[in-house]
Amino acid sequence: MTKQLLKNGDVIDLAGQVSADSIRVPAATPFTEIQTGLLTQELKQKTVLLEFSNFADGRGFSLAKMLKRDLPSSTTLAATGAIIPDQVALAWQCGFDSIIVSDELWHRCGPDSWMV
Amino acid sequence: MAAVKIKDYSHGVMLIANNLLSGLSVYLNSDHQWLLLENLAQGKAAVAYSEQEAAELLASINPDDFLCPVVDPYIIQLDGNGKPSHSRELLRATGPSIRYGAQATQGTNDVSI
Amino acid sequence: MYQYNEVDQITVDDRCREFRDQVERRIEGTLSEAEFKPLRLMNGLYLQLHAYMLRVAIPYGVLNSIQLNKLADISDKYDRGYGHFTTRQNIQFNWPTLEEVPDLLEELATVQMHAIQTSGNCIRNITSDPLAGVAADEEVDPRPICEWLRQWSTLHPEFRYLPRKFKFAITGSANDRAAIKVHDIGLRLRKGPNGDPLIDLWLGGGQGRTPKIAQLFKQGLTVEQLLPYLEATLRVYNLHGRRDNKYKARIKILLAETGLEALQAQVQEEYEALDKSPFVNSVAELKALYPHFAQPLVDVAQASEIANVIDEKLSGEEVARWYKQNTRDHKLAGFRSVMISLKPAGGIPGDATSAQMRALAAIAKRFSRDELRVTHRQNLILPWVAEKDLYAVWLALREIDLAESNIDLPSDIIACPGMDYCALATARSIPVAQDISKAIRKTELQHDIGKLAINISGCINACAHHHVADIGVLGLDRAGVENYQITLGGRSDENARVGERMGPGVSADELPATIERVVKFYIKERRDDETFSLTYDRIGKTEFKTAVYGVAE
Repeated sequence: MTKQLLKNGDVIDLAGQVSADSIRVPAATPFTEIQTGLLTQELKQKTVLLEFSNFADGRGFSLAKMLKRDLPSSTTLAATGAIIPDQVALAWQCGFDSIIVSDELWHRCGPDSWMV
Repeated sequence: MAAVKIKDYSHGVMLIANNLLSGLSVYLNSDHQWLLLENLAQGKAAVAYSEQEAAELLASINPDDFLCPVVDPYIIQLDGNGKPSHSRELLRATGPSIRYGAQATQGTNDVSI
Repeated sequence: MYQYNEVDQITVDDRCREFRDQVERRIEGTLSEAEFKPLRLMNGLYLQLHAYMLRVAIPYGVLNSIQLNKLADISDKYDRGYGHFTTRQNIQFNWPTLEEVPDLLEELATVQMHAIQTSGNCIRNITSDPLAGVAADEEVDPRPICEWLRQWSTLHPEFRYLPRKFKFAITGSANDRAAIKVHDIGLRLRKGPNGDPLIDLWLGGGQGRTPKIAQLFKQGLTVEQLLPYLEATLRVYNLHGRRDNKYKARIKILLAETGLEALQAQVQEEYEALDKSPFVNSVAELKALYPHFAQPLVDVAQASEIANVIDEKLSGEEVARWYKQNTRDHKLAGFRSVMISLKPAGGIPGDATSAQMRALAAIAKRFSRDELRVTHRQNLILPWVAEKDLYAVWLALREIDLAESNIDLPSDIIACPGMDYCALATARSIPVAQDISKAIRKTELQHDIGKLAINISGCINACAHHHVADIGVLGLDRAGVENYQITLGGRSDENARVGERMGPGVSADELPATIERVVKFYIKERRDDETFSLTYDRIGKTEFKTAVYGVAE
């Protein structure tokens, strides 16, 4: 089980897989590469999962700002991977629509700490 | 943050760290307790005499456990008197080498411009 | 000076609660040390050799008496009765415990202070000219822009996990007292056409193991352009700065590896693309800050009358020397800035006891419009002293052993905490600074030597700015023995440059005599009032190197 945090404070239990029309992009991917690959028409309607490899690597926050500028409003931008509760508020401020938290991280950090 | 690679185990090595709560420098004693490093002379450290013993000593405190009571534990080399052999670790054991706070300038104002 | 508005206070109070929660989670064991470390660093909390160390922000070095009194109380309650003023115009406490830091931060918040972003890979405390707003030679008062950038950079959601730390320095004078060219970004404010300043942006300066002097990156930015341009610059750095090697992660390396023109083009492209709508009110916000820094109303006629009276009390030898060496010309007639040396004989550079802090707070309140400044040379300033009060101020400072007339002289040494406190240090700085100071005081009349910067760093990270000193000293560890490398001819002013390294390092015992030889050689060779760096340029490295090692004396 995996949890999905929404900006309005809701938490959704995701049974198994995240929706099938999503694409996973490492947050270390250069923006120009995302522009030429991800922002092509066939991917436009999907959920983009920006995956943080390490919580101390803040590239995902800048990428989010740039992607939100270019993605159509129908596309959902989600943060996933190595995110800690203390970064939830930053993620909302940088434009993420949701955060996908692994079960392991959810429990280790304590469910309360994710509620910002 | 191991400061220096251990070259010589002949006088033994010991484990030092900072206490998580107070931050103060501590060492592991032979009863597996963390005691203040500044009181090392009055205590008995847990001493290892080989690389393997040192690794076992480090593993025995579960350094990766989030509940480990110390931070940044590492092995340091001892000299023949059971004191840290490196100047940095010796400074950790003896505290700052200068007078600080209200004591700083007492008795040193003998020189003037 | 700036007073918090409601939003500032809520932000700081929230941050105290957040950190208290983080500390609790660390102690309970739901946060690992690896996760907690960047969080505590972003709140200024380091783990040093003997204990935790808390670095408290003093934005652009400006303090009032209530704040200094609070710092004194904190040093008694949570530390060992003293604090250490740093080259970043901050103050450090050396002995707080983790459990008590949340209480300490709450106390700081009651006087509009905090430790946010004094460490960590984020935008650090912004530094400035310590004489901002009072210097006679100032073109533009940098304080409103400093405060504006403080608000923009504090808790910026995008730039809290940068590749490495990021330091800003700002000056509004042609005589750079803020060392802007050895910062990640240095801003030089000039007078613009319609009353607003124009801003030159210098980028990629820094010290550490790869010292670099900043390059002029963008000239003549308007206040409308500044924040979006900075946002674009930081965004490019966040995405492209190296994360594989922390010694190559500063923007100076990105600049060197990308090239000036290519990096300028990247920033320009992002600047043009980024959404400007969040900045629509920012210039109005800047203008709302100006009244906080308005010049006090002074009766001009009365002030100049006072200024023309020669105060007989200031003619005594000791006080006259203090007046000449420790006071500076002021923007306002009838006033002077008073520099307070934290480098007394035998003292620790930058340290002040709680008793001294309280006395200084009282002096500032009575004689300096309730204001003090911290300088990057680890001294303090009373920026608003009326000439008529100078003698009383001198007496009051003498009372607390802080009337030493050595500002900018060789015994006004910058020293980092070194291996006596710092976990990164490879050698001690404080005792060698004390020894050098003692040697210089004994052998020469330092007033005859004049201005000379000796800076001592206890490791390659160069916190004491040794690269840009007349005489720089770098303490290293050579097989467990402290060894000190000498650098000569550096400058941190508008003509900033990195000093040249002499040969092999010398021992702690040899160091004072070595420095003494260099100083004597300079005195012998200089022409008239020639500065150290000019003499060094004229005579050359080879000759000075001979002086360092004392071969042919």
